[in-house]
Amino acid sequence: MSLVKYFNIHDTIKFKLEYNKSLSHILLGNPFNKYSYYEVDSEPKEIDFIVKIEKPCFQPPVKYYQAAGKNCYGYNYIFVKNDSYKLINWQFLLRGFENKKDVIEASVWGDTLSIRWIPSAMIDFLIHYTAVASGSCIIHSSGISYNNKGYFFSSRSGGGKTKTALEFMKTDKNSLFLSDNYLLLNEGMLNNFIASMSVYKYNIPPELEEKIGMDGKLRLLMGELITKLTAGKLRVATLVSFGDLLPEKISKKIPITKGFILFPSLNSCDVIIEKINREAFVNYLTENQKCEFLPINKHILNYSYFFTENSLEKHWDVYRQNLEMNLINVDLFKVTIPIRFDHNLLIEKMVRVINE
Amino acid sequence: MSDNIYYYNIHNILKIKMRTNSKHALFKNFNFPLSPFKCETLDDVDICLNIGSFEPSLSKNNTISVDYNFYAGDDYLYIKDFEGRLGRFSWEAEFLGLNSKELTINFNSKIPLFHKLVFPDLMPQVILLRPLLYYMFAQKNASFLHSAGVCKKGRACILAGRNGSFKSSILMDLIKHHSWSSNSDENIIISNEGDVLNFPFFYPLFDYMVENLDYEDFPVLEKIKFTLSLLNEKNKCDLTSINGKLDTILILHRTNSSKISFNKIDDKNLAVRKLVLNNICEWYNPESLTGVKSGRMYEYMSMFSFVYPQFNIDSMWKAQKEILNNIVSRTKVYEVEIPLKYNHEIAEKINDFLW
Repeated sequence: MSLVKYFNIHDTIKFKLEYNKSLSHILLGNPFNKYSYYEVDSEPKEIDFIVKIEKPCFQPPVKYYQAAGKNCYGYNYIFVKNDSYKLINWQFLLRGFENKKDVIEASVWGDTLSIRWIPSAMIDFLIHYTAVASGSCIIHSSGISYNNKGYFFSSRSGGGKTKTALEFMKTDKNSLFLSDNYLLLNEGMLNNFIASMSVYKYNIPPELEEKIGMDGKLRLLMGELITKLTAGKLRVATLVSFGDLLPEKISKKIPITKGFILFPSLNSCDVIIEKINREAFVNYLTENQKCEFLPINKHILNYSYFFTENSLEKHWDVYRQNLEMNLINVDLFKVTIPIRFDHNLLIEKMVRVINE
Repeated sequence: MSDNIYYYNIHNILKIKMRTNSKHALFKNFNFPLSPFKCETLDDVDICLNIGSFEPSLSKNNTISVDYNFYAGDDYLYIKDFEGRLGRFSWEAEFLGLNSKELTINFNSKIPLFHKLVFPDLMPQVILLRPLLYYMFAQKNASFLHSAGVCKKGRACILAGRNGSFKSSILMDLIKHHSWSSNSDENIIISNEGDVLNFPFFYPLFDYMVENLDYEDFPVLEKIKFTLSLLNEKNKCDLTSINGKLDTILILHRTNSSKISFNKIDDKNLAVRKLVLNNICEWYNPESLTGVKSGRMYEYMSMFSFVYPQFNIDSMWKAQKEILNNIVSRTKVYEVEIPLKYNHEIAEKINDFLW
């Protein structure tokens, strides 16, 4: 049974998703519920991209190049047949990405576990890519509205994005949640990005744990069991959505006031908060964002080898420009945090900076 | 228990020291793919690869944790990684001195028994050492390329191309039927003076292919025969089979055209860009022999770039770009379109074109 869903993220990113329900969705949760906060009933006008979860069918373009196995690269066309990157074994077809006016089409397929990576490996990339084309940008950050001002906390995974955002919310009952992982920056505003969060038994915040229900709790336990059985190599996250659990605590958008990038340090003994210039900050955020899309980047590089002038590669320059535009007049800080540090003390220090 | 130490001197440009605690390898030639460059001893090595358990020097450097499995510090990167669903292969590694003249790599792994017996030390050499050679040679004013090289009467040519662009097949034909010489079908070095230098890696494999196969396709039976042939060690790799100035660069594209065609690339920047991208793509490329299905160097360096954006991936390739600019400016470069199916006529046409 094929499901067709439409999503509209702040009128900036509009897409269509087609997939079949499978047993693993029941057991481990449906990975495509990630975007359900932005689901709309009818097809939005001017859709940016369509993702179909199906075996891609190779319809050869007039001219194409073959490289690395049976992967085909034609202008505006990438067909990848059986590629693996770490835990992902996937195949996909991507086309229509060269011209802004075109609707990007992607067909993606993989084994049961790989399909669970498709939202982060392909859909998130397309969201990011179309955001750049529309003059905005996605950043890898959590964000909150605190005293009616927007703050964001960027880091790589394990850097404490989610935790910092949630801790902040505890200190002020009126603060609102924007995101735990991605944010959409547009015209100097932080726009929320409510996707399901990947949580594990050890890091789920208590206020969410009490709301996730029986099946959520079971999945948490199962995830923990798998992690233990594989000695920590395989992390099966449980997906929970802040949007479903605490809908009244969400802010839609808010002007960007201050931005932080968090670095968990092994050696420093104290929290160091230093103001850094916009250029340095933009560099950190850009490199952070690039790290998010490593599996597809492999094919962007191969594509760029054949088609040296292309939008896929060039979009990183535009990304940087968009980011710079959005961060004019924003105070930006680099925060070095000792790895084992009392989070309350960190928040205390950061509140001081925020109130300055 | 003493460690075995091996020294490799690559054309007096790059010097490598490898230390390992493994005692036995069933296929020595495969365990030590750099063996043609082996020498007794060396001072001032550029790269030091230590294989075996090590104590990570996390606390000495100003280290930042990234994505749970990486620690990046000043001039320092520690990695924990694995392959396979249940992590059949797992390894940890650290790089010391990524920005300095001497690079040290420490590596320790858990691999299945089969791999341990057959080639216990191969993995770090193909997943860490070789990818870094692109960068390390550039520091020495030489260019290391993902290309095949051939030579005839002092005139050397380079065939660059992504995997599957028939570099090896063409090379085999050029050697067998058109009296070119080579033993480097994967990588090649160009010195600052424009000399093309051999870089045989797993040379018994290419040797065997030239002697016994028609194309680069390896049927199962031949794989078995090849494996058996590895048991008798022979050392006859000629490091001077390519000995000449760079004359022509061919960039091979495998495409759905019906016949081979040659197009001159006048835009030298474009040529350099293609050569560099061809190398960068190799950072992602699998080395299936070791059981690792995807190249990780791009990921490792991306994580390092996040902590130190001034040392980003673009800057790592900048030195190579400059060297190539210099080389390409005095060389003819052609883009060669090759049909999807290989036949011997292709090599014939390439020979006619080059000679």
